[in-house]
Amino acid sequence: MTLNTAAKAQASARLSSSWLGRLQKALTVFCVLALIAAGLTAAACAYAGVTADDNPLSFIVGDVPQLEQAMEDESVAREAAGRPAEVAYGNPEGVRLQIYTALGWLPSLLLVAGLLFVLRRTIRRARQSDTFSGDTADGLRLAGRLALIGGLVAWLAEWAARVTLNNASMNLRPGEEIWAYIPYTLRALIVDLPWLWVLLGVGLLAISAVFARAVAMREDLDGLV
Amino acid sequence: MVDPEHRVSVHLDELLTARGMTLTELSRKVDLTLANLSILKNGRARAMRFSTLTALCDALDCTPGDILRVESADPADE
Repeated sequence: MTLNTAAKAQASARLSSSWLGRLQKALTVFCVLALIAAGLTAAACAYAGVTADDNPLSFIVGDVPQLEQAMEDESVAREAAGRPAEVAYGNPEGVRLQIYTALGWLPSLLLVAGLLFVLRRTIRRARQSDTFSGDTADGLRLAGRLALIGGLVAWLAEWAARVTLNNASMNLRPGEEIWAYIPYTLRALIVDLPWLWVLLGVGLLAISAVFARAVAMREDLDGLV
Repeated sequence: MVDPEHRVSVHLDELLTARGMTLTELSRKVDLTLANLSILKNGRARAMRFSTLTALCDALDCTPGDILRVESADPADE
């Protein structure tokens, strides 16, 4: 690196280090918050599963005829009186419901935590060495791929969990599930695609490509006499 | 030493030896830093400004062809 470009790099680093430092701290806080949210979600789902198994009155009764039949029973109705009503799904397996409920939220929360961690590491490296370095471009490329691929995978996992929960609540007979999936599939392909993740991923990949070009230009400039 | 991306070699050291000049003296004459001249002499430069080439030719009383040479693509020719 020539002296001229080294001086420019130092000046640029001084200017950017102040706000990069604040951004790094903010990302650390958000990353921890996302991890806490993911932990709380998992814990809440686990707690719901345990209480559901312990107290079947407040949990799953089955389909509507079963619910009506249960409420006709005076002893059940007396015990249920004054207690908050809870919506229940047809599948009585608490553990399965717990897993599906967790799958409806956890992938996105874990993805957010992972993405924040990658961005924080990229910024930390940029602060320690040079903003326009190969490490920064690599970090942004990794974040872009994570947002794009991870976003689609998380969306698929959450979508499958929701469809399974819906089908369970509909008490479908064997062979009917495939027909129940079709409206969800069509809607998912058109409306529910995670466009935000796709846009974020493509945007980060584009920025990483710009950074890679900037790194190449700087290397060329370093070799200019 | 020639960069693998191109076959241009810099013969600054030969010219300096022929004229009995040191790199420090040349850097003073052409108003270039010693670091930049060292990059050029050791073949690590990727490009050269016309102004630098003109200053070097003036200082060393030579033509661009004396400083820069394109090596043969065939290794047997060397």
